[in-house]
Amino acid sequence: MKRITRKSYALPYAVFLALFVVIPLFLILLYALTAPDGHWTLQNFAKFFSQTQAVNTFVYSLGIAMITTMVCILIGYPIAYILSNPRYNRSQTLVMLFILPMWINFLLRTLATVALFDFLRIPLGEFSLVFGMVYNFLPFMILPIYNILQKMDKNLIEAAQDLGANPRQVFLKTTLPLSLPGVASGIMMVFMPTISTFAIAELLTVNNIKLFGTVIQESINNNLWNYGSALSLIMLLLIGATTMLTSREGSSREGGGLW
Amino acid sequence: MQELTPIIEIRQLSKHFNGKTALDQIDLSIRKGEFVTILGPSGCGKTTLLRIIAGFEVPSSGDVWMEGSTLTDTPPHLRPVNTVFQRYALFPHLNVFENIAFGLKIKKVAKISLDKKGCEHTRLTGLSPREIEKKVKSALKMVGMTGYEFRDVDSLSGGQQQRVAIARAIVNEPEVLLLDEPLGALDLKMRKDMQLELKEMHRKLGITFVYVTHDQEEALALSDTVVVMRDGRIQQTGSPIDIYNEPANAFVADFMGESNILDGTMVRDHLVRFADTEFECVDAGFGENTPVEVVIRPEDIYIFDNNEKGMLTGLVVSSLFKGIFNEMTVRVDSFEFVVQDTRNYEPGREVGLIIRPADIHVMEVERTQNRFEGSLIDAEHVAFLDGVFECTLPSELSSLEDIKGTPVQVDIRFHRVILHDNEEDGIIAGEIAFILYKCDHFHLTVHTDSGEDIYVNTQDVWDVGDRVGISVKPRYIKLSVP
Repeated sequence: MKRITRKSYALPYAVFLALFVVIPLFLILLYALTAPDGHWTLQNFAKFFSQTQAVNTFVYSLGIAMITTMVCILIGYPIAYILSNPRYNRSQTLVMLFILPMWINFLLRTLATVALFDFLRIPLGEFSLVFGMVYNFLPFMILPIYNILQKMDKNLIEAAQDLGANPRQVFLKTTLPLSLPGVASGIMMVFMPTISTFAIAELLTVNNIKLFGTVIQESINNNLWNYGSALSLIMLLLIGATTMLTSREGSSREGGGLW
Repeated sequence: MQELTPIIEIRQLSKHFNGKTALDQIDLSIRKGEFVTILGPSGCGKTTLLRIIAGFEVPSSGDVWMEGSTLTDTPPHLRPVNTVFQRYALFPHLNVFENIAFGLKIKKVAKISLDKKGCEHTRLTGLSPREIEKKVKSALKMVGMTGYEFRDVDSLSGGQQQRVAIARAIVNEPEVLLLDEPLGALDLKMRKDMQLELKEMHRKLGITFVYVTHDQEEALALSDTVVVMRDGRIQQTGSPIDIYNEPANAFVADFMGESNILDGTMVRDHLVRFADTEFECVDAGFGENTPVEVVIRPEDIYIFDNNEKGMLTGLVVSSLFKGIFNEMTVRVDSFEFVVQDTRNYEPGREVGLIIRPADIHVMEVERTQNRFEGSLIDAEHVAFLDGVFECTLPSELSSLEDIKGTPVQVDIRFHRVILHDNEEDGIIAGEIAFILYKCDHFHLTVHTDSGEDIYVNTQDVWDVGDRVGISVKPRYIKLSVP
């Protein structure tokens, strides 16, 4: 009988990865490149690019995801900056409060948001969609920026002051560039889920606005597995490209991670 | 090239952090072009003082003046000083060139130009890229780092990072360069090389250097003036030679290098008694039979085979080879002297010692016993240092009718204070803050929990930082009316 080596401990994880990551990805690729009758084809991709409506939805989703990410940066960065500055915040409590919503299931949160908009008689639409997404994903932007700002060597700020930088210049020339890896992680954490989301869009626009995620979900629901897989693959490639873009910035400096 | 005008004047400067005093009434005047070293053990306030000059800390009271105007309300970025930080603080997102150019790119210089009508216009403009490049190159040359412009700062060694940090500061041509233990992170060999280079840089630049270190050798080697600090106070200010040869007190003597410090008595002018022997000395003006402290440097004691000529005779207890000399401990009765000599005497040898009058340095003692303010509780108890001690009342106090709350002066001799390993065994507790070996006993400074210090003479070995219980036998608590 073969001896149990250290390598054997990795086996369960290998099985897990194979079953739930590698094989599904392979299946998506397979379905995307075949027709329902099983022969190889690029027809699924051709179908997507020939349908203006599908491409429009894709571009629209991209736009919404970018706006959401942008709004998250604009709101999240100042919050992270204030939280990490001991002059304004000495306790972990405030940080906790900003993360607290993450404890609640996002579907519940989103349903609550719908109820809130109904109560305030604000029509559900683009605004409520972006609001819901920002509300859901803001903590993912705040945390990595907060972490990197907090770990930053305070001597660097003093060094910049010492060299003649006024507070604005200190921020623009030192704090901001040094915190960019955190912003990059934040972008990844927000952009990736927003581009593929469909539940938030469904609930917060009463299914009036279709996002790319919705289209994929509908295709799969309507048994258009091959077309749906092709769309998923396009989305995966897009997310892959974003990851590569942001991680190049992120990996060059340590300490930009989420936690 | 030194001028006598002061460039920095510090007046009555104090700084408290959360009730703790970091700096206590500091007065210091730094001359233009001087190399000043602020020397002291960790926690003595030297870095705080430097940070106040740089503007990173706001003093609790007092002022820093520079060339006649107060700096107190000037933010760091407007002060004509630059700092070399202890751990370099180079910007990791910038390369060597960009790091050094950081200050230059921000700097605005006044440019005077003539318009068409011939009127002068003063305009603030940034330096041109060519000027910046020229300055950065010359700063790099100054620190011996030519050719490293486009290296990532993370790829440099500690010594190289230090050089870049120095270049980044001096390129701005500050009036005063502040250096916060800049060589602390370097190994010994590198440190020695950098010391020489710093000295050379100071000579070439002609600007004022304020240098903070805990390394007395470094201070002696580099400075025009050494400022010795302890517990937020300046102990002594003077040239390296003065500080070494004429220490103001036992702390300075001990801190400035290996030395023999003893309790003694000034019998009369030019005659001092210590180690149960009378010695001729050059000091005078202390009065007759005055308690003093005596410092003798180990290299100033002559050691030779025992014969009748020795002023002291003793037994070599230990001998260590230290390179150019041997360091021997010689026991003379109950006293241990540290002696340095190129010749070696094996442990067990009987030797004679001679000390020349000029090598005996006599200092005034700061105190001869502990003195506290206390108040009586009843006929058998007195409160001081936040503790209640048993005592016996002297006759002048026992005649009082209502003695509760009467203020008294409490005197306790150093060797009457008893220290306990367990805090609970003492009446009050404290922490050992400073230990001075005085040839036949240890003189300890103990920070009691009340905040006041108590001084203790003991034969026992304690360590700095030990928590101890403190008690005093009732008969050794001397009470009097203040």
